[in-house]
Amino acid sequence: MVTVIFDIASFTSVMVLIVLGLGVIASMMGIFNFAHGEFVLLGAYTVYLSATAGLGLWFGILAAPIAVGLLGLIMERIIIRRFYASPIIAMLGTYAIGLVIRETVRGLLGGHYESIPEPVSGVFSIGGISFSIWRTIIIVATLVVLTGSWWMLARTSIGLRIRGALENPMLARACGVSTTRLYGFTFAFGSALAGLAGALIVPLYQLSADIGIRFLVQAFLSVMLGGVGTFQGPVVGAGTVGVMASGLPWLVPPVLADPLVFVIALVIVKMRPQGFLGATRS
Amino acid sequence: MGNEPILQMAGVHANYDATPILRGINLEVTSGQIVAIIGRNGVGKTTMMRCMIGLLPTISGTIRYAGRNITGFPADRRARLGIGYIPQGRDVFPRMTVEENLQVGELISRSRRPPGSEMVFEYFPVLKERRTQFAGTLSGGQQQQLAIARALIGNPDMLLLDEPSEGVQPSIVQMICRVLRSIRDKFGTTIVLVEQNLDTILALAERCLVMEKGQIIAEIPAGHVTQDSVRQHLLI
Repeated sequence: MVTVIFDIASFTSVMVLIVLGLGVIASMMGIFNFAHGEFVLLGAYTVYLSATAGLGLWFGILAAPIAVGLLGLIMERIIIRRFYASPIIAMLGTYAIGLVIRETVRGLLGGHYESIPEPVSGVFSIGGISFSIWRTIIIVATLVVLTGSWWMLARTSIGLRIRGALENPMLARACGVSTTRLYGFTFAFGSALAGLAGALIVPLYQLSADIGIRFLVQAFLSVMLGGVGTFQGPVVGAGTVGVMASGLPWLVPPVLADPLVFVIALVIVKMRPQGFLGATRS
Repeated sequence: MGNEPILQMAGVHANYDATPILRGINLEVTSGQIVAIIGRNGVGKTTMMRCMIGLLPTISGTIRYAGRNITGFPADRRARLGIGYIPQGRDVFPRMTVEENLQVGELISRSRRPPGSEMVFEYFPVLKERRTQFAGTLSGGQQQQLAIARALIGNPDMLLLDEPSEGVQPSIVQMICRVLRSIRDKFGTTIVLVEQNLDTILALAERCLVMEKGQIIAEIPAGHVTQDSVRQHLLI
């Protein structure tokens, strides 16, 4: 039982990491980033590149959020920012970018699956039950990221700007907040989180071009479920979907579990279209 | 009081949803003056305010502020140049506390000798009592005080107010008028307000510009703002 809860917790942590970045971008700019799964892939790929270049796994894990964050910043600057007025086109744009990234990496990998070892392998045991050290690190890293993001949002000047722009973008601009710069920062931050998530999960899954996209649908569902506009919304949504996706296979045949997650989530979204904690913009 | 113009608009045209609203606005506001823009509903007063702060783009014409052509500047840059804007409808950040709302206002003033929250609390004591309360839970009059305090704390050289008296009880309106006058007297702040309330206009305005169909059609010059002259234009 404890192992089951641990497994659910570690999978849910991964979901939260992925969804936080997606949710932050959706809340701020009102667009779903369809390339988010590919940002996860790029985070994973950075670790692979670092390992094959002899720089080691840890260097890759630290470099992944920075590299992917920078890429997100550049992407927002060059492409996405031109399309905020028409979100559908912006989203199609992110889809196209995602496709290019995914197929490029697929080409570079030659269609192979690459195994990345855990930087810290092995288990530790408490009371006779053993826990994977790497999964524990993922859970801890997620908690650190969550706490850090919350702190940034609640206690710093950039957080104040972000909350202002979320609640009332027009008024924020009239208060001297450059939403243009803020959107770039938000996009880079969301991308960096995806990159970190990819770097952390790649030892658990094999590296393939599709490592990110497998999470994307569940991540969208999480954001819809939690609602956009708040920090807690996507986190709660990711928690719910993560727990359901990893917990249900223990209760019902795994073949039923996947569709069941969607059915339950869609029913909730149908009943509460704004999500659990969705905020309406003033 | 200086005599040089702080704000100039020349031939400004602007649309709202492809409908032309401003059809060639020409005006000049002298530094340190309190100017009211008056006119009936739907003549483009709010649109003109949004053009001044830069939340609505101009189609043609130029806007100059403190000698600079700011026509192409986004709103946040204009705000950092010292234009404070208080939109219609007691606009605050409802899910932030009173204190946080003021902190957003203070963001601009980093480089502009911030007067600090103590000064605005002196003017609006009720905000000090409610500093930890969410702005969305304040009454209409308190929200309007917060909106003005938030702009003041950024230490603006020019303040734009869009119908400050709308939906606020008369005693609070009087208090707000006193505060605005004393701000101008103390700091030389230029004040441009859109207003329909006769009492507020008489209490504050030194000069009135009358707007109709997207143009400034008349002016009540300084020294001539009286009940009769204003009423005459409000009733046109």
